[in-house]
Amino acid sequence: MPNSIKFGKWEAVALLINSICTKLFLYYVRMTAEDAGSAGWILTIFISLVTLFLFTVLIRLYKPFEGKDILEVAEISGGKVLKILTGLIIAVILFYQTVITIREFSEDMKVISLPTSPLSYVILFFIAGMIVGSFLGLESIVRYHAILVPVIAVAYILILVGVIKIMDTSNLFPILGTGPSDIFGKGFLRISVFGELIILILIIPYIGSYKSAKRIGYAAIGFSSAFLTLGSLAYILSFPYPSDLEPFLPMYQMARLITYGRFFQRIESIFVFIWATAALMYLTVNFYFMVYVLSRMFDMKYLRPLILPCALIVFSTAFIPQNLITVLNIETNIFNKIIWVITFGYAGAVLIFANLRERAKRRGKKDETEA
Amino acid sequence: MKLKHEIRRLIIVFICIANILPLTGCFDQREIDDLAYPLAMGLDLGVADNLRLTLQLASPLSIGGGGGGSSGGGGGGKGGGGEGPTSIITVDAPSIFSGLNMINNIISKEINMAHTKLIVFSKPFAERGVEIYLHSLHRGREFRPDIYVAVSNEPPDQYLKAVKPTLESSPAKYYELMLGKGFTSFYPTVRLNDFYFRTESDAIEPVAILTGLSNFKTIDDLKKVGNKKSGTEIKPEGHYEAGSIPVIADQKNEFTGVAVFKNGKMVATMKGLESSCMQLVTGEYKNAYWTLPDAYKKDKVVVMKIFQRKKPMIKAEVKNGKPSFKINLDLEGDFTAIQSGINYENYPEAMEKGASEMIKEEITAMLKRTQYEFDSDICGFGRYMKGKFLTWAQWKKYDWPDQYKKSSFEINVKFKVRRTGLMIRSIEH
Repeated sequence: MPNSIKFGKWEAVALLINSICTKLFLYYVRMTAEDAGSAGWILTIFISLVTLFLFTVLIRLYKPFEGKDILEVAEISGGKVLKILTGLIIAVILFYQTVITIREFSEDMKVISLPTSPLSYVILFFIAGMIVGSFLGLESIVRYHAILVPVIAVAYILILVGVIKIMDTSNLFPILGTGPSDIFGKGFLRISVFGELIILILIIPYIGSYKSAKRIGYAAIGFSSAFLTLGSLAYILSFPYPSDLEPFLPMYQMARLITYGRFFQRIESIFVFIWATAALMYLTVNFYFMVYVLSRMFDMKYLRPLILPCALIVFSTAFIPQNLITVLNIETNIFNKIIWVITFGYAGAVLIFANLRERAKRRGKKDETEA
Repeated sequence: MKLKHEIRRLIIVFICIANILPLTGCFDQREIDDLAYPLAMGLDLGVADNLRLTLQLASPLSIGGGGGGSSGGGGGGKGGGGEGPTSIITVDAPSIFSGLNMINNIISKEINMAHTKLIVFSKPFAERGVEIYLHSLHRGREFRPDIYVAVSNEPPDQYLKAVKPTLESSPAKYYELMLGKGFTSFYPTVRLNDFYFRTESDAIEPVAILTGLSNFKTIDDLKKVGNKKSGTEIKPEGHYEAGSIPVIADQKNEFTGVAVFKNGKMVATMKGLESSCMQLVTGEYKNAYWTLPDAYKKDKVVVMKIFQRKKPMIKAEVKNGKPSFKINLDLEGDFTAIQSGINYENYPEAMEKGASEMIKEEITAMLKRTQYEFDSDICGFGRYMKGKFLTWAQWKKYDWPDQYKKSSFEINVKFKVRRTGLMIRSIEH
């Protein structure tokens, strides 16, 4: 199944950029301020460099497994059991991420534009988008990303440019914010921000060579780091600490500050459109890969029969968190601190075992031929 | 096969249209005609409850020239009957949103704050403290961050009733033109987001625009000012506050001066010229006419339009344990009037020196007031001092609000005359 579709480098990079950077529209910049105060942008640069290093290690371990996704590698490493276990872990993470994000986006939408609409009504629209996207398949999803990610990126940069007028460089001081231990110690856990790189090790069969995967990974990390750093920097420059800890939707609130004369005002309405597009794409990708992993785990020939039941489960589970603050706490204080263990830790361990297995196998063959 | 494809396409189009239709009538649809838009909101000390909330509601049909149209209000504008462009409604309530809730029980349309341009605090209300109400303004999604913030001499219900723009049919446009303009510096441009951030900051204190109703009704009332006792005494136009400007106009409200806050409470007011000086230091100054005494003939004045060529350069240092600031201002001016007829156009040095000295003196006096009278860092020197510390813990320990009054300032004003209007020389009589 995986090898029936192939897509280009840009499509894959766009997919990963949107998956990593959608949190910019939700909470990311506030989270960096919560962690490091006025040094949130330094924290972003730090985690980007750490991610770059860890990715270099990870992708080097991947070299012997060109064209194979993490599930196939897990099978090499520990047989069917490890394949199912790996699939289960990834599926649970993607499910969890989908549920939390859909609830968060819907709550945000309710606060901003649809205060009297029932939550279920708002969630339903996201669910409908996810279902349609998943039915259309991976090829449509990535093509959609290739077209819309540049549009979202331009709109995002326009927001950053729009707030230049109100930026104040003194907001960057004290330069080390809440202290080096917060930036480089606690901040390390925030490499989880790049947790969505897990999608890259799922789409490897679709992007062909090892070299392509490597380039895609570096490009995605590079672009995402730039967007995250710029966002964090612009936010800190526009909202002084500690006021920057308060905004519920930082990017939206930044867009609200844009006023040029009596004509160019209230551009946050454009932001809502951009933000909803990014959200829908993000949710579709997460949901699709969740279903995809489930089908691959059990060697199912088709994934479509899983779409509707899974959507129903996502829809129902989205109502479990009691309120918006619970969702935000789960997202920033739990999810964005531990996901790196899976993306870099678990995946790395699987790859190391698979490498050892391969080496042992090769040695065994060599011994046999020598004998 | 082709037919099957066409049917499929039709079904998709149908699903899309079917999805769009319910959106037009979804839960949050609101007709613009069903909403009432307050253009200004006044907050004062209440009698029946904590807070007195006054709304100046727009009557769109009257603004558009259609006449009539407002539904309610307690009188105001051109009467509460809705004949004028606005209608005033006042309520005593425990909080802002409780007041809006109460007003929604009185008027037929739903209150929507999305077009509010001005928030006016009364002086007693501002002196009691505004912080507890600011959070709800910041939290409410309908309140725009670019709303102007002012303090009025009169209670807001009286003040807003008297606001009757003479040159604009829409009061909203009046507020935007009046409070956002860059060609006068006698009051600062203060928006809600900036006011809020400053209230929460320990590196800068907030200010608000000072407004009030004119004390003068007839030309004879101007005698009360009693300034010009002799032929040599000149009182520059910046030495007034809102309400005391010697002016007779159809428009009764005026904006001049600054309301100074500390820890969320109003502590003092400053005059128009002090507002200009404050903006020169903060870099918010754009341009304005300045009346300067003639360098040689003290009974005459020279008027110049003064621009801030560059943002001020402020360097912070800690000298002998005390904060010290070096402020470099780079200004330029154009001659607009030389009453004495002295040929300053070709020999501007005397006026340049006089202007820079006067500006330096005025800024020094203003800063001294902020230090010793209000003890409020309204120019934000703390923002520069922050850069001297590495972490927030160190900065907090330094306790800037306590250090401000110990600060010393070194002010350098570079002033150059650039243009001379449409005349290149004056001929002395």
